[in-house]
Amino acid sequence: MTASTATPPGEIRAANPLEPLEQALLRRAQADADAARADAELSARTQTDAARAQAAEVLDQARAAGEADAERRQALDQARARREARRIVLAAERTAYEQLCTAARAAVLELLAEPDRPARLGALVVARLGTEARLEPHPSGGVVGVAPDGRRVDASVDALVAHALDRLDLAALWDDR
Amino acid sequence: MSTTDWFPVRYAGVRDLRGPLLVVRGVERVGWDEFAVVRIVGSAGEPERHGLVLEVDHDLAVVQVLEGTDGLVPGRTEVAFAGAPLRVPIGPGWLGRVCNGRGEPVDGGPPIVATRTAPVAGSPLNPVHRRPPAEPVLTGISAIDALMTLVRGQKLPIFSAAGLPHLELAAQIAAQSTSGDEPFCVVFAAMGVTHPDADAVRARLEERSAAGELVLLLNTADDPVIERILTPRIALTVAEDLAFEQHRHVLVVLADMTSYAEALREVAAARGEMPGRRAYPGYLYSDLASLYERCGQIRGVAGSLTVVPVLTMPGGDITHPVPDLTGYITEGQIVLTSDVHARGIYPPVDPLSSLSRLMRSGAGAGRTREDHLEVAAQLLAALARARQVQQLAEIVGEAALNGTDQLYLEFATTFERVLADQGQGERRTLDETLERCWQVLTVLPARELTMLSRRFLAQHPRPEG
Repeated sequence: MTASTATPPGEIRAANPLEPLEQALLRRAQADADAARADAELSARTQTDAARAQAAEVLDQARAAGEADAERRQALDQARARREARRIVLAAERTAYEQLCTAARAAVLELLAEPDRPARLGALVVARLGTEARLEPHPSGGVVGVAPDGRRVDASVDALVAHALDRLDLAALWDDR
Repeated sequence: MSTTDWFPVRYAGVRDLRGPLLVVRGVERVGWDEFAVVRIVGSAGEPERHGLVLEVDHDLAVVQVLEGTDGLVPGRTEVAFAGAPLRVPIGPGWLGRVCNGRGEPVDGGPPIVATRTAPVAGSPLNPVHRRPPAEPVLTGISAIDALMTLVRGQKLPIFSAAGLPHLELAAQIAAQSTSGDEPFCVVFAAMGVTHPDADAVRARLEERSAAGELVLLLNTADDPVIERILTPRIALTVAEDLAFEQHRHVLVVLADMTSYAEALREVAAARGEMPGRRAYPGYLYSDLASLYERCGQIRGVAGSLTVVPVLTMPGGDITHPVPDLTGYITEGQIVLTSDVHARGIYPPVDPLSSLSRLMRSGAGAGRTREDHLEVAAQLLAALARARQVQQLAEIVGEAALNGTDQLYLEFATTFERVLADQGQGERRTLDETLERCWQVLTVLPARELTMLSRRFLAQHPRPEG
């Protein structure tokens, strides 16, 4: 291209044949940008809403888990307390039973201290084993009868008390069921 | 006062000690199965031991010592015979107590003594005096309450296999069961269980025990076998009194009866008895019946005795003598399977192999809920069809099934997920269970629900589509 044939710049600007195209491209770009912005805004809003919902859900789950955990802990505490209460009651019943044994042993010893009681007890033992049986005193009080063939009858205080308590309605002492 | 009672003769003529057996000579009027007390002479602090007479021949008696014969010496051992088979004290004093398999407390409390005693062998119920079952015992476990309802006075065993959670299920049943608003209690006899299992059962039942509604007998695997034979008898003797004299509804859970049968086999071998199938004694059937038949209800007497024995089938073999003979005596069974267990479902009940023969007497209108029996029948029918479809799908593939068949597959999955699967500490009311049944049935189209009345279908509208 030579300088004599060139079109002056002002004329080109005044009659740009591509201007409608440029305008159209510009409008389309604007519309695309608007659409992209709207999409981005919608997407942001959706994501924010989803995040909020998810946060609320997580919060609810955490709250429910916390409540369940608290209930579980409470149930465990209650079970522990019940177990402990039961242990205390049983231990108290055991103590009462042992006191009863001691009192019964003392009462039997007192009875055996009466003049004719040991002889009567001995007679009962001999009646079980035969007249050849010999009577030996027992360390806890009372006697033990031994027959020549080795058979024995225990009439000690311990045995008499154990036998008597075996037939007692022990539950009635502390149970109102 | 009888001098025989107060002054029992002790025999010092112990001739021989063989394993848990003790041979005593010079005895008079000693009978078979008589209870005995064994003591070491001159050992004040040593606790008494106990035994059962296994064999008598002239003046010789063979005694099996419950606590074992460790430390016993022939010259220093004496044996006193009770003059009768074992008797146990009976009464409400047992409630809230934890004992070993011989009925001796292990909870730190005093011994259980009472004015009344009863022989552990029990006395058979007159069949003419039995009252037909009519009311349910609700376990709070959906699979059982919905499909194999336990009924007062029934004997309904749980058939299981090693590795399945049968003890957990038994403990859950014991912890949760109720029978209306009437007085209810549980006697749980654990036999041959490990120490951790015994601890777990005890912990699970703590609440019921503290409420005075439980008697717990724990015979562990390392306890003498002869004690294991006594444990269910003591449990049932205590339960009979609570049921028929104290007028409570009593549930007796016996776990595990296979351990019991093995103990019976060991004792039979010690007695030199002729072995039967798999070396169990020939009288295994009648022996099991003598335990299971102690349950029931009596005409004119309030209270009932319901038994749930748990037994493990060695190798999962349902034809093994213990489940086989149990099945002849009991009224149905709850079968646990490893297939269902492998899918993570608890309790792993196989509903199609399980059955409560008395369910129709204890469920339905006026007993549980009027739609109960129809719903149960429909669920079982649909599960049976689903199983056929599963087998078909294995051959042709799921994709080749028609739409209805595919719905049956979905139904089976929903059944396990919504109804059968349940937490070990979860207790469901009957209404909740039945509502879950209806929820499972919504998977199927109405045309498939042919066993349900229109009235019930109308009461449970189905989702659109």
